[in-house]
Parts: sequence; C-alpha cells; structure tokens
Amino acid sequence: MYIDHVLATAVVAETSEGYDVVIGENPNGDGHIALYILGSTIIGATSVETVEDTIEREKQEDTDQDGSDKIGEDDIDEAPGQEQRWRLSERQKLWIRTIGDFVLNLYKASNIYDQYSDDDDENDSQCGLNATGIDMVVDKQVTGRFSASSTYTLFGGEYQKTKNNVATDYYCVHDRSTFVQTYADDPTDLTDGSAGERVSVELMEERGYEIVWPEGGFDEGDASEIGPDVIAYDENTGEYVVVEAKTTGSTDAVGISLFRTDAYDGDPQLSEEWIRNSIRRLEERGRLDSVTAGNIRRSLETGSLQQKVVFVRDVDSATGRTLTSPRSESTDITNETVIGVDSVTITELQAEDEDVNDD
Amino acid sequence: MTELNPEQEKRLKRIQQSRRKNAEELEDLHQQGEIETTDSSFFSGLAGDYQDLGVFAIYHGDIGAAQTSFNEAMSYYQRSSDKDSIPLHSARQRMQGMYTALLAGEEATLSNLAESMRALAAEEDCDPTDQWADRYFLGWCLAGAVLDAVDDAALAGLETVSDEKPGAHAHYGQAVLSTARGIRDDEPAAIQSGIESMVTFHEQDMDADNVVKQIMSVEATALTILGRAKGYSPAISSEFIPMDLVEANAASFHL
Repeated sequence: MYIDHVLATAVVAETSEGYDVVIGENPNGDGHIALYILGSTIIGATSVETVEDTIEREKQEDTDQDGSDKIGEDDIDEAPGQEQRWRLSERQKLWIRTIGDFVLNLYKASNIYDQYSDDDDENDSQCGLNATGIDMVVDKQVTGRFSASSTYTLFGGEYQKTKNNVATDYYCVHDRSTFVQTYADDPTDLTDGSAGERVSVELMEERGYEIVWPEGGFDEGDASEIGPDVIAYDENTGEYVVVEAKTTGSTDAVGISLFRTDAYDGDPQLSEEWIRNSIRRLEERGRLDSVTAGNIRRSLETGSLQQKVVFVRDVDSATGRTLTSPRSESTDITNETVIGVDSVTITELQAEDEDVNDD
Repeated sequence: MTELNPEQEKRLKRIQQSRRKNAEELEDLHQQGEIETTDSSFFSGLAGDYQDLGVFAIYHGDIGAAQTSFNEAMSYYQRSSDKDSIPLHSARQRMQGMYTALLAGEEATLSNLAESMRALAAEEDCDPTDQWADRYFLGWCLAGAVLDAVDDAALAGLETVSDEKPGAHAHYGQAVLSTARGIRDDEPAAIQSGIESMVTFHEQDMDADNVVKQIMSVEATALTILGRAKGYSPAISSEFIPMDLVEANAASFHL
C-alpha cells in the first residue's frame, strides 16, 4: 500500500476486511469529510469527535433530523465504478484513490477546497468526459482529484499502445479563465508555453518534489530558456524528474511531432541524449552547478530519472485523446532510443463541464 | 580563441574536473553492470564528455591531450552507432564519429565510419521528411566527402532538408553541402564557403556565456582539417578554429 499524503493525525491500517482510516483534526476543513472512492470499494466510517462537539451535534440533531448527509452502501453498490462521496458532518475532507484492492494514495484536499464555497460543494462541477471517453488503454481506470490553484477532474491510467507503458493522467480544468489567469504570462496568448511550464512546477511541488531547475520557479519571460522546462528531485526516492511542458491550441495528442527540434544534430526533446546535452549547456552557461549536473547525469544513466511530459491543450472541443499510436519504432516516444517518455499529464482547458449534484 | 574572464575560467576548471570525474565514474558503473540506459545511448553520452575534454585541452594549448580525448570520443561514437537499434538514428553518431576522428587525426577509424555510413545509405532509404532525415543526409554527404565518393542523391536530399531549416540551422546543412560539393567538384571556393558557413552556424547557435562553445567549433575545425587533408588550403581565420590542431592533424591524413 502506498500512502501519498496523510493528515498529520491520521492512522491508516490494513485489516482482513480492508483499511481502517482514523482521521484527525483538520482546522482548514469546510464542514464535511468527503471520501472519493471507486464503486467497487466498500467503505464504512465512524466519526470521532470531542465531547463538546458531540453535545453540540446532538443538540443540532434534535432540531434537525438530517444532520448527516452520508450516502449509504446501497447507493454505492448501485453505481459500480463511479466516484462516490461519503459525506459526514465534520469539518474535514479527505481523498482516497484506489486501484483494485489497493489504496493508491490518500490525501487531504485543503488547497482545492480552500477555494470552494459551500455552494460549490453542493453543485460540484464535473468534467463532461468520463473515464471511458479518454483514449488510454488501461486495466483499471482510476478517478480522483488533483489539488491545484484551479479545479480539475482527473482520470488516471496507463497507456499501453506503445512499446513501454506510460503512466497517464488526464485532467479536465473546470474554470479555464482562472487557470489561464493563474498560470499564463499573457492570459490572452498561450503560445509562449508559460502556462504549461508554471503548472508543471506546481505539479512537482504538489508531489513534494524539490524544484532543481529553474531555481525559484519561472519568472516572466523564462519560457524561452534552453533545455528542460522543469527538473525536480524526489528526496524520498532519490529520483530526478525531467519535465517537458507543451501547450497546444490544436486537437493534437502527445506524439513524436511535439518533440522534434530544428537542430541538425539534435535528438528529440526529452530524449536521453537531449537531456545530457541540455544539462551540459546549462552547466557550461553557469546556470546549473557542476555537482547537480553530475547528479542528474548519474540518475539518468542508472535509471533513477523520470522523463515526464505535461501537455496543456486549449481547444474548444475536448477530444479525450491522450497519446498517439506510434506508426513505427522510430516514432514511438516510449522507445528509449527515440525519447523514452515515462509519464504524461494532459490538462484539458476546454473540457465540457456538466453539473453534478451531490445530494 | 575567445578570451575568458576570471569567473568563466573558474567555471571552465570546475566543469573540466567534473566531466573527467563523471566520465570515469560512469565507466566504472558500466563495468559493474549498474547502467540502465542502452549501450548506444550510454556510449554516446560518454563520447560527448570526452569531446568536451578535448576542447578543454585545446584551451590549455595541449594538442596531444586534445587528440587523446577526441580519440576516446571517436571510439565511443563508433561503439554507440554499432549498438544503435534504429539504423537511421545511428547516422548522428557516425557523423559525430567522423568529426572527432578528424580532430583526433585517426584516418583508419575515419574511413571505417565513412564506409559504414555509405553502407547504411545503401541499405536504408530515407525520405527527406523522415524523422531522422537531417542526420542521414548529413552523414551520407560527409562520408562521401571523406571517401571522394559524394553521391548526387545525398546532396539532393541534404539540400531539401536544409531548405526547411530555419535560422542558424540552415547554415549547418549548407556548410556540409558546400564542403562536399567542393571536394567532389574540386572547387576550393566551395570548400572555404562551407567552412565559413559552419563558423556562422556556431556563432549564431552558441550562447554568449557558454564557456565551452567559446573555445572552438568542433564541426568547423573538423571540416577545415578535412579540406586540408584533401590538399586544399582554405584561407580561414576564426577564433573558433584552433589552427595548431589543424596543422598537427592535416599531415596525419592521406585521403
């Protein structure tokens, strides 16, 4: 079992029947525990509260018999494979993502929910595309949410039409305007690529990685810098992540054409050779110190480096397309000789929204 | 050669130490079986390290050490091309191998690499719009120039590819195209023009604060040595072409 983020006071244990999750205090919560689970997961919950809170709650229940709006097991069973919420009268929120019998990760949603009003919670916006609308070939679709400065619906899986499988996340942005205002240097023009680069930094920071390059994140105008858009370091695993961000206004999916360069002796962007040359050039220009450059290089050669693509697509009809099927060995971006992409995150800015009422 | 300021000299020294240390460590890791990248990719990476070490030696005026490092780079490029699983992709390592062979003064390996590139071109067709067309036609033209066997199809392909290249990158293709044509047609002016185009590419492509690129242009120097080896005397004067190395190597070849 892998735990991503856990509330400071939470205890998670595996039992013969599943997992016990004890949720601690969350002063930043907004009034509910929301457990986002897959339909195949059966969940039970017991609220733990202080004596004062219990007295207060029971008083409230005396006057309002509907103090808890939790969804029963019957409701869960009626919608297998769909995201469900178990809502309790606590000022706490938690996400659980599962694959099969495993808890993929468990994390609180403070960032995203700090921005929600109570009204938002009652009529939460969902991506118009559903898991089956995404063209990933997966054994299991995992639906969850991702916290950032804007709100998303996430579909995650693994693309399997390539030589090597690619871990693929697909995010539908619910509020394009907020996203663009938050991330783009020029909200009226996304062609400079800044939106993809900034959201890449945030993605890495959300996962607790240290941003190695660019130091201190992006300043306006940094989009034209040479080399990788972001280099991050995961202290827990000792792995580097090299991110190439791409922004498009077309319906393109992620394929080899995105990474071609004009340079005569140039290998495709994000390829091993391109990473080596880029790291060298940054070092030669004094933009990256020699120790860090050496560490990144060693990680690359010893298999401790992830090659990641962050793809921001801004087109008025969401396609649900993720990766293109390669036509040959030469155009397969997962082929190490060509590029060797490990993971792709696609952010769809104009996915059609639909309102989902939680009640 | 461009004069480096004290801060740049310090950086150069740090990078030089780091390159050598990293290369030796990685070679050890390879021997211990701890390298995860493919042999082709790994060898190509090491070739780049040794190529840089050759450039650093040029900065310090040590021609012998430079030739030794370029020789290491050449060997690794050759090993990389031999291990490459995609034939067209391997054209880049063959091309880089030919450049570093010229810088190392290694005629036998230069000829081997050129012949292997021509054999590749004979076995594998490549459309100018192909993913790897630029390296394929570049390598084929350069191999033809080395072996005095420049193919019209190679020149036509490279011309088509070059027409699509923007800015500085068009100069790179033009440089090899003109040098190969000059050698085939016995036109010294075309050879000189080719070398000048490569210098122009280097000047436009390099970052002003890149301490390695300020020392020399690997490609322009290699083309100058090739021109000299073919019996021409291109009148080139560029801070990016170390004439000491050109003079030392030109006599090594009997092409």
